[in-house]
Amino acid sequence: MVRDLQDKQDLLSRLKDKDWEAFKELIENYQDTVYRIAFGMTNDPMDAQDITQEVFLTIYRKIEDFEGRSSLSTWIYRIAVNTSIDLIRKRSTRKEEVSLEEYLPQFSEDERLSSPMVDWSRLPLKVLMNEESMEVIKESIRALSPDIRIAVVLKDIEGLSLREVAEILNLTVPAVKSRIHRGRLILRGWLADYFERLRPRLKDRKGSQ
Amino acid sequence: MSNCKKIIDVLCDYLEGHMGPDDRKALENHLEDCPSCDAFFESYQKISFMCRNLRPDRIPPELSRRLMDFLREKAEAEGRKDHLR
Repeated sequence: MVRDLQDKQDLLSRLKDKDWEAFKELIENYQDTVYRIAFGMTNDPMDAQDITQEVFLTIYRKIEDFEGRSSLSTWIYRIAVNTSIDLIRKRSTRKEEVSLEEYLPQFSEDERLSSPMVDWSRLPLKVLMNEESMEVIKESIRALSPDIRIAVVLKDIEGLSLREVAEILNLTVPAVKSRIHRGRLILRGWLADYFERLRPRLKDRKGSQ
Repeated sequence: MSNCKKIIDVLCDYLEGHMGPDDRKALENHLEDCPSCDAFFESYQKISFMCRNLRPDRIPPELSRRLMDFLREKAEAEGRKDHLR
């Protein structure tokens, strides 16, 4: 632990000295996650590539400003998120917003669940995790608004803790939780819709066996 | 916490362990009695699991190489600039 901390501080001081080898080490350690954040946010390999490049250039130029108030990884992911958001904002005028309200659960007047319940969660894993289902979930993540999407990407795809996500997005933990919850509700509804449409096909397949 | 809406509103807190023991118990009792909420909860929980398995592996090697070359060039150019100052 002490050794680990010492290594980190050593890397940081070499980075501040603009030591190329230290920077190379940093790129090797963080390029996958930065790329995944950028790709998750934009869903476009070319954009993800430009963002990744921009993020490391920013890190190289601004490493002197890093004061260690957050961890180095949080600081790096925050740069990745902000760079992605800047690019999305520049393009958002071209994209039409899809209404996602229909995917949220519906309640009756006495607040009981009234939307028909498609219980797709008990489908066999090979159906849940096949290429087509994975493509559907990717498509639904793409449809989320950027502020909800980034919370879902960091928490549910990258597996960061709520506290880390809050720190990266500069939000409170309850605010992050509420975005993630809304995102999961929409994704759940989107998938329910897909599996409902898939049901006749699954029955046919079963019948033909 | 007897109606479905209240249950669904706190599913994220439940999964994160951000609930007191009494509320947890009330939620679990509701899930046992309400098949709709139970099915909803199961599918809600599966979302994180499916997202986690989406994890697109790694940066493409070609991009990694280009990234390294690009940054090395930039670093060298900026280093030279600093040196001349």
